[in-house]
This record gives sequence, structure tokens and C-alpha cells, in this order.
Amino acid sequence: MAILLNRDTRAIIQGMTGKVGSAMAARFLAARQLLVAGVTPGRGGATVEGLPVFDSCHDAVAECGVDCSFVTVPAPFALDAVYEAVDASIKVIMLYIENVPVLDALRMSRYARARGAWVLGPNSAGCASPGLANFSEMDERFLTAGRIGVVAKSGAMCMEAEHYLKRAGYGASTILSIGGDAVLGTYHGDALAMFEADPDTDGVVMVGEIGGRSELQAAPVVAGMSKPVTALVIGRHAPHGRQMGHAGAYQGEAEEGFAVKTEALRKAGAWIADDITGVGETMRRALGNA
Amino acid sequence: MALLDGPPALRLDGGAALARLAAAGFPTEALKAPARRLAIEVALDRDARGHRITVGQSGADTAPLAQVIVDPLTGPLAHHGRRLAGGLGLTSIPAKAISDLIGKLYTLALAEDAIQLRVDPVEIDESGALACRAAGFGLDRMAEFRHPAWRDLPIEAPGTPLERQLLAAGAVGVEVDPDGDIAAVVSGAGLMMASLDILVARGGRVRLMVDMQGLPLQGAEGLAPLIEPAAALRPKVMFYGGRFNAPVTDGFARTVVAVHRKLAVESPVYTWVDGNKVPEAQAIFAEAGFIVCDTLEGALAEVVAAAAG
Repeated sequence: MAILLNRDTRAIIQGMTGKVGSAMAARFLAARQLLVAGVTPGRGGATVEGLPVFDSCHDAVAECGVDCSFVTVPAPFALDAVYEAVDASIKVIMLYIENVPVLDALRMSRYARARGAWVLGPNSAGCASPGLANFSEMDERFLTAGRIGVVAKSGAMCMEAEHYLKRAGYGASTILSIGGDAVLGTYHGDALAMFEADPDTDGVVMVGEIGGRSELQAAPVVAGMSKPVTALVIGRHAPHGRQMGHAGAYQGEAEEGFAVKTEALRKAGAWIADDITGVGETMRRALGNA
Repeated sequence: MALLDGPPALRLDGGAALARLAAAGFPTEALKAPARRLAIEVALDRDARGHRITVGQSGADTAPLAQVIVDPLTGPLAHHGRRLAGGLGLTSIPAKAISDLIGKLYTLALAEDAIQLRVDPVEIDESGALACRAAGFGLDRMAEFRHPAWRDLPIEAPGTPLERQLLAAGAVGVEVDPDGDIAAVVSGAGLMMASLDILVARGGRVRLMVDMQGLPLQGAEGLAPLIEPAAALRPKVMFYGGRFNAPVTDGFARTVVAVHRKLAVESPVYTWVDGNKVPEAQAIFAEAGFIVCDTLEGALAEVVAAAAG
């Protein structure tokens, strides 16, 4: 199983005729992923990498059957793109682009959830269920399939967590980048709940960071889980009040910082890793005690 | 509450903010006999995933008397208005008046892409007459494409001169400790934070951290303007690292080496790369005399040791 993406997931790229969209199409196809079409309003009938381009998500769904969309349109068009995907009954929408207005991010997040769809991002590196489906920045050749879920805002932390899990002898069921922007469509707690329900996931690595309260909101979910969670909050030594690359990685109040988040997760029962290089070994200890 | 008060928003304050309210049809002329002076704030709360509307007595230090979270799918509802007016102790006509005003301020906040809209004071009298006497807007910079007029607003440029230089090059730089002796350039915001944590935890003093963002994909033309100012700091030790999924690692290595040669930087350079074209990149680094490390943790440990030595 895994979560969100499986072997039969059929994906489109919204914005596939653009520079980023066409590059990602080539990459997904080279990795033999089940990318079936693209959508660019006004470009219906074109082809990219041999795949058909449709004018709308509705057309793509009707012609090809689609479960998932990887969105690469420019930020000003992101809200409309997500609304269209949701209205076309696409249930997993990965918003790869960044610099989406926060009001738009808020609206698309609420709209999607109200209709049973998940939006990853904005500024998500995508999602991969190794060996099954991979619509992400992560190179399939470097991923190992297994039974540990990974959720992080950062694409880089997804890759590092997977790497250190592999070093400890574990593979990943699904690796989920929820995005680095301030307002997101999916939060850590949402992913944890999905992993808890997934019979093919035995434990979860959760990488949080300074800024916002996603990790605090995840703590009660951790407390209610039957599976072990290894947690890490990065940005411990970030200068106060500075944005650390991600639009959302900015500690304003103490609750948004390393100490409060880490303590909340520890109290909830998470196994706390000292740093990203330790998540694999920490997971080993967690599984040994599960 | 976790307002989006991180990177400096565009600000619209003072007379310009009040003029914006007047232009939108809000009453701004002072009342002759105000009964109350109130404060109303509409602010986007990232964690509540909605707008938080807060009301209270006028004055920055007064505690809120009532607040509600508004779902963007519905906008303010009648019960929100009743709750806020009730929190202010208003009834009858003044309660209806303040409730209507709050609804209009919410609509204005959306139209203006305001992360925060605060009106303080709002005068109200017994007849329900209102006057917005001062206001401030915090505007979402990412929505600038919808508001061409924002280009004329004063922008508080964030960061130090070096950070601004790196931002202009398309990267994100954070000057951590002015007395630090390590500069690190890595791929990804998460790796920037994680590497900083490891370096400091092991006793390192970090002068500068840089996230290259997508610049390695742009080749030497995109990368050099980022690497030059970092290398020009001539810290005691430099570190370059990243896990590259695209086959750009060798190009990254060539650019780093070229910049260091051009600037005649003598600081020892530690490198760690993983992903595509790693052997090629490591060979380029090694040929230039840089130290090639096989793991992130090994590289960072060596960096700290070299800085301390």
C-alpha cells in the first residue's frame, strides 16, 4: 500500500508545456513513472515527451483517468490550478512551486480538504512511494522501498532522512514533502494519521522545523499512535527572527521554536533524534522498543 | 497566535493607510461624541488556517476582549459578529454597526492581500456611528503581482548587505555569528538548517550559511554570483555540500573551484556531495586540493575540527 501514491497512481502535470513542467515530465518518464498526460489551458492537442496535453483537468481525467496532479504552473495561476484539479476529482495534488500568496494557499488548502483532496505544498518537493510511484524531486534510483514513513517540510530533509534510514537498514514506504511555505495544504499531523492507518508502514520519521505550529499540532497525533515516531526539529541554532530559506521557517514566538516543539513531541512519546544523521539509528531503537 | 509576521511584509501605515480606508468607503472623520474607542484586527493565522479577528479596547497593550477564527470558505458569519460585539459589551444598534464594520474590514483585507489589517482606534457612539481613525496594513509580498501599486510602497529590505547580495543572486544567506570562522554553502533550506545545527552542536562557530536554492541547475552563470560573495569572506574554513538529484554535481564542483581560483581564496575547503555525477565532482574537488568527504556527518566534523585547529 503506502500512502497517497501507489503502483497504479496515474498522474498529470499541470503546466507541462512550461520549462519546469516539461523537465519534470522527462524525468518522471525516464524513471518509468505512470505519468499519463499534461494540462495547460489553451494548449490542448499539443504533446510533451509524447504525452497528450489537455486544456483542462476535466478533459485529462475523462480521457486518461487521473489520481494525482503535479502542479508546476507559475504562482499567480496556482490557486486556479488547484481548484480545477479538486473539481475534477483529483485527490492528491502536489504543488511544486513556491511564492504562492498566503491567502491563495489558505483558500486552496481549505477547499481541497472540504472535498476530500490533499494538497502538498506550496513549495513541496513532491511525494514518493519507492518502488511504486515517485512524483517528486527525489531520484528513484537512490530510494529504497521499505516500511518506514517519512514526512518533512523540506525536500532535502526527506532525502537525508531516507538516506540515514537506509544506512540503518530500513527502506521507506512513502516519503512526503509537505512544503516549506508558511501556509500548507497538509501538515505533519495529517501525514502521521495516514501512516498510522497504513498497514505497510511500521514507523514514521517526522522532520519538523522552526516556524509555525505544525509540529505542536502533530504532538497529540503522535501520542495516539500505535507506531513509533522518530522526530527531529531543525533550526535549533538559527538566529532568532531570521527566515531560514523556507518562507515558513521563521521563529516568531517561543512556541514556534526548537525547544518547545521538541519537548512537546518528546512528551507525546516521539523518539527524538539529535540531528538528521541520527534518525536511522533512533528509529532502530524505537522499533526495538515498540 | 502565529501571524505571518516573519519576513518583513510590505507596510502601509499612517496617513496612507487611513486614505486607503477612506477610498474603500470606510468612515474616517472623527466623531463629535464617541462613546468608546476600540481596536479591530483581521490577521491571517497560519496554524488556525483562517483569519483571526480580534477586538478590544483601543491601545496596543490592551488584552483582546473577543476573537474568532473565520474559515476562508465561508467568510465571517452572523454568529462571529454577535460574539465579537458581545465581547465588546455592545448591544442593539452599536452591536450591529460594529459587526457590519468587521465584515467590511475582512472583505478589504482579502481584497488587499493583507496578512494583517489593524484599525485602532475605531470610534463608536451611542447611535452606532463609526469612525476609523488610524490603521495599518501588513501586505503579503508574494501577492505583489495582483497589486502593481505596491511597487511605490516603502519596502523594508530584510537582512544584512551580504544577505541582500545573496538574495539578489537568487540564494538565501544567513549571517549567523559575525565572529564565526566557518562558511557553509549547501543545497536546500532544510540542509542549511540541519547543517548549522550540527556544526554548532559540535562546537563550530558559523559565520555564514547559504542555501543555493535552484541555482546549481543554472550552471556557472547562476552559481558564480552566489559563491563569489561567500568565498570572498575568506573564512577560516569553507564547506560545500549537497545531495543533487539532477546531473549537475560536476558543474557545481567546477564552478566552486573556478571561483576559488579567481579570488585566490586560501581557506581550506571541505566538500560533501551525493546523488548524480558524484565521482566526477569529487575528482574535480580533489584535483583542486579541496578535501573530499564521503558523508555529511564526517564532513561537518572535519570542518569543526579544522576551524578549531
